[in-house]
Amino acid sequence: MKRRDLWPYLAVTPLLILLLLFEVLPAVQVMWASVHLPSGAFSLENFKDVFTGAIWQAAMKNSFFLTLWSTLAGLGLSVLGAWALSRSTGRVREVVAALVSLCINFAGVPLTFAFIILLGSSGVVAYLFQMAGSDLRNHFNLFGPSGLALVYIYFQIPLGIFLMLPAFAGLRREWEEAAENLGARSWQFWRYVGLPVLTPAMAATASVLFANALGAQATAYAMTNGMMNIMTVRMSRLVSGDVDYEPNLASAAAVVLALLMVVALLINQTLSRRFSAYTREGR
Amino acid sequence: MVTALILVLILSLLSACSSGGTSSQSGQTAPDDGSKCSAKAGDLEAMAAAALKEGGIVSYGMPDDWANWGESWKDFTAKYKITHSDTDMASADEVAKFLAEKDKPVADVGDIGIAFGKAAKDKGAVAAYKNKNWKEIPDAAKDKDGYWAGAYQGTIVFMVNTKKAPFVPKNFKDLLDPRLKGLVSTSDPMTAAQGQAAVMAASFANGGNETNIKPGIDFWKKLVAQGNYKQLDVLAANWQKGEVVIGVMWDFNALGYRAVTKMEKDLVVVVPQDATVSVPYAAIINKYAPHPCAARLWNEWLFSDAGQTYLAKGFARPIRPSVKLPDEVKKMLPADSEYKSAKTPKDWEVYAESGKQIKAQWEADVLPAIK
Repeated sequence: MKRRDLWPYLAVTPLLILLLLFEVLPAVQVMWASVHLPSGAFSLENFKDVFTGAIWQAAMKNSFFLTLWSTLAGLGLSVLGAWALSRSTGRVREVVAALVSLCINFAGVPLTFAFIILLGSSGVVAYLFQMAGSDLRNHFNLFGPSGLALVYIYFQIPLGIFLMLPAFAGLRREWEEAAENLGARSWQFWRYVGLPVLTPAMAATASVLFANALGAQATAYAMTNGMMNIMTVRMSRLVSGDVDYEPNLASAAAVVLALLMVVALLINQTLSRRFSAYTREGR
Repeated sequence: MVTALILVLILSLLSACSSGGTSSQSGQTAPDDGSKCSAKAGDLEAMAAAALKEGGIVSYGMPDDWANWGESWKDFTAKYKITHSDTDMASADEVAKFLAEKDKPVADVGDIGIAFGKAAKDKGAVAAYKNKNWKEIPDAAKDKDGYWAGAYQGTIVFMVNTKKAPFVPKNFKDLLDPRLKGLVSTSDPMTAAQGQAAVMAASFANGGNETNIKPGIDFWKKLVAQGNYKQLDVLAANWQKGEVVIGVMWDFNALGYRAVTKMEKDLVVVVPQDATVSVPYAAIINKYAPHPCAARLWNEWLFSDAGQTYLAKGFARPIRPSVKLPDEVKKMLPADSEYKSAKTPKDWEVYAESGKQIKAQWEADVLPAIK
């Protein structure tokens, strides 16, 4: 091997070391801890607790539905947003695109605070309701699951738009015009050309949004001071609280969460593969 | 440079992994009698002279900003011309450290949750001492042999933001009023003693007690089902933001937050009139105290009118009913008559066990219902 071929490997080494130290080793440690008791004995007790404990079942359910709804709603809205953005031009497009990439990093405590001043009980919307002679708290609770879902959808949208934009760029204007010239209606174009072309990108985006929501912790934690019962918050309490310090149980929950993610990704992949196979046949 | 950094990272990872932490703690009690104060019990002058010779006093778990300990210690040490230092720690740790350090004792006195009193006595960690005001301490708040005694107490109350609440609830059952939708908060009963006490108080208010906590769990379950529960901790910051409107919490926290947020005008503190729960905090003396006379002198100080007044100034309600508080201090606390509804549990072992029950039942019954 020539000496200069070594340089790329050398260049990537720091990254590999970082990966090893902060991704691989912790993952191995979590997996190891999940099948051991604090005493060090091998046991599947932790998994039994996670699957049979009422609090864990509720947490799993909450996490799953929060993730599912925020993914679906986030995907739908970001597809519309990306479409609109891809059709806009000039200054508007530049500003909105900049705003979108800015919002991708808007999460956690600052996002929570923004929602509190908007929709909290002293928030702007609460005062609007008051002026209208009504009371926001009778209709909406920012600190419950529906409030959290709203915040999650909010942080999914910019990421979704960001991921969908290239796909819309690949959907060429000429195709739409060609379809029109051949007498296709707008819905027919989208049904037979637009959506099939976008589907792989939408599936990939859905996967990323799903993972994004399932793994989110800071926003939910900040919002309810750690009282919201979802998987990530529950886990963080087991490793940082002074009342229940159970890192092994938390590890088992992390493994379950990772499995949930893998299953979701596999389903997604299978579906999108089947779908693209179908469109290939249809060609 | 990079290698050094990586080395440091690896080392820190390794050390994080190996911190298993085995606490050494001898199980059996020593046959010795511990340390004794030569001065006659209750003879303050002789005790003060002996304490002066000892020169200092060390406490565990009594930080300056809790129950006004800072001011109390400052004036105590000035009066008796001895030095003082404190290390803050949890109740169980105080007792464990008294025992672990018995051959080289460090601390003289401590302040513990009353539920830890019996264990401290049984393990032989604490000395018996009955101060001059012993008779005035209610029986439920002291060990009959003098090994621990409650110096002050916390009571579960409602704090209400009158600017935001449609009315001020006076009883636990008022909290179920449909007008209070989404307004009632407490700390998490699964992790915080305050939240557990809020369930216990509701239990007393609904015909239960420290043994029978089901009425308390049922009450909160109903409150949650009704939609009146707002899942948010009753921290000072959340009062300031206006997010917590009605908090079920310790009176000392409520009064402290009200002062700290400067929201005295908007926040009112109400002792639930159907019933609530009071829990004392116990003063203990290390059996092996290195400054035995200073330790006992502090105990006398703590239960004296002066010591009890310092506590009241820190919003910790004095245990002795007869203490005459100066008017400006009295104004800081709800009136004594309001506290008539407060019940003190009788069996502290059962109380501690109930905490675990509350945690488990909240987990199984209440939490899944939170919408």
